[in-house]
Amino acid sequence: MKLPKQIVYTLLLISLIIPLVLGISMEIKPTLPVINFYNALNKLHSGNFVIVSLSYDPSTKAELTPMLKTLTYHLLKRGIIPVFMNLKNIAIGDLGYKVVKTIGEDLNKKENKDFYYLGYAPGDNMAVQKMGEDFFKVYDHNFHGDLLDKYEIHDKIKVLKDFKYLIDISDGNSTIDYLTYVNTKYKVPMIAGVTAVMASEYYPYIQSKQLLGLLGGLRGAAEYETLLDINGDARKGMSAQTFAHILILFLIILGNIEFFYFRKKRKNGNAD
Amino acid sequence: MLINLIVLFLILSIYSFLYKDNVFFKFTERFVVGISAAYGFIKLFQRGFIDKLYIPLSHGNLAVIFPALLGLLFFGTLNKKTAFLAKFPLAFLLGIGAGLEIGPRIETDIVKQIYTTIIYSPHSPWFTIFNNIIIIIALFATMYYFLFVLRKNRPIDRIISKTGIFFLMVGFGASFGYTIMARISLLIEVIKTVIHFF
Repeated sequence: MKLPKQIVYTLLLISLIIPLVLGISMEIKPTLPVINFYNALNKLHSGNFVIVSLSYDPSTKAELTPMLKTLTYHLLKRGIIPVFMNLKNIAIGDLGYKVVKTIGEDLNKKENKDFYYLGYAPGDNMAVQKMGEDFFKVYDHNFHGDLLDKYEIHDKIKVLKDFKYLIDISDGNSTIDYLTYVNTKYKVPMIAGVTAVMASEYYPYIQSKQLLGLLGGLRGAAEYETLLDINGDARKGMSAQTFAHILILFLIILGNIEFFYFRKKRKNGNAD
Repeated sequence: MLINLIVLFLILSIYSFLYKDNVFFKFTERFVVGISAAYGFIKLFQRGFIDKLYIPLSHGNLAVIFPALLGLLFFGTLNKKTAFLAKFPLAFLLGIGAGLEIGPRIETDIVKQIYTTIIYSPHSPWFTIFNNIIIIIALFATMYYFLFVLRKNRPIDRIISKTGIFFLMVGFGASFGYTIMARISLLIEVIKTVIHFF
């Protein structure tokens, strides 16, 4: 017996729409990598600079923008000064700026004082190397084209090592590149938020303490929101996610029962 | 409102493929590729050509001419006779990339990983020691499974190989589970956009 794929898609759609429309929320227990991510940022003091690399594009916005929102809120609320940059992906520039600007305005924080948005710079790993020697050789102006030498960042930061952390929000291989160049070479501590597909790839780096904390996919973002007591996009999404997972599990079990039942029947038929 | 309508149309066009391939899906697929390429080109032109070449040149910084000329050699591929010219910037990039990367990459991916797995400290919490033991068993069992040059006829060989397969399956299962979660997260975002429209 074969279940038509249209029925499977419809069931999946229903399982996702119902919790989203009804606004069902579930308790999410934070895991150790997320708690470590949160604690790493709580160790910083007001006025410390951190660099946040936005290494994703709109195709993974659903997973990574909730992380960016919560991270920006967390940093600005604590008075830590995030410097948002983008060396790996051109497409996130405007999208990321909109998110950061909105949260900054909500918290009455000023751009180029409480946070900096630098946008995209070409050069990839070569640019990272250059930033290790002279940060302003890569970024001499911000996202809007204003020169950075008139702002506080120019006095406080000279090289990558002057940042307390590098935080990579990534959907590609940028985290491993930063681990190689920024963490190993320039000894800047790192934490990261990555898509769920990549999360299992980065767990060995938590074990070795090369990554001090990790947010994995929407689940990681939801756990981070729980720690900050925010009912954001990720927590709302995780309820729908849970319903979909229950449906998928149910369909897998159903498929297996069907497989074993008919296999037994076929065997009996052959024996007869 | 108009933007939202366009977004809704594009979403429904893409998902119409689940029923069957159609002209709306094909149009949207090409539309997205075209828009992405155009956006990327403009951003790269602004941040690369204007910021890193035109502005420094206009300020009298002639040092940028050398990398610009090297970059121009890539266009040699447009003609068969000049295609060999593209090999020079490519060789330069590969050489620099390899030179810069080999040392730190070995330290990041090999030295630090081995160090934290094998080093035993009596002060480590019991679950860290337990984890390390599991990692070492998984590492050797999986490596043993892939040693095809050995004859594995003894029962102990089969036990080690099966253990290796078990750990491989756990790894693949975790990756697959995370992949499902990622894809559903993307679908949730799309559904939220559609719900928001209505």
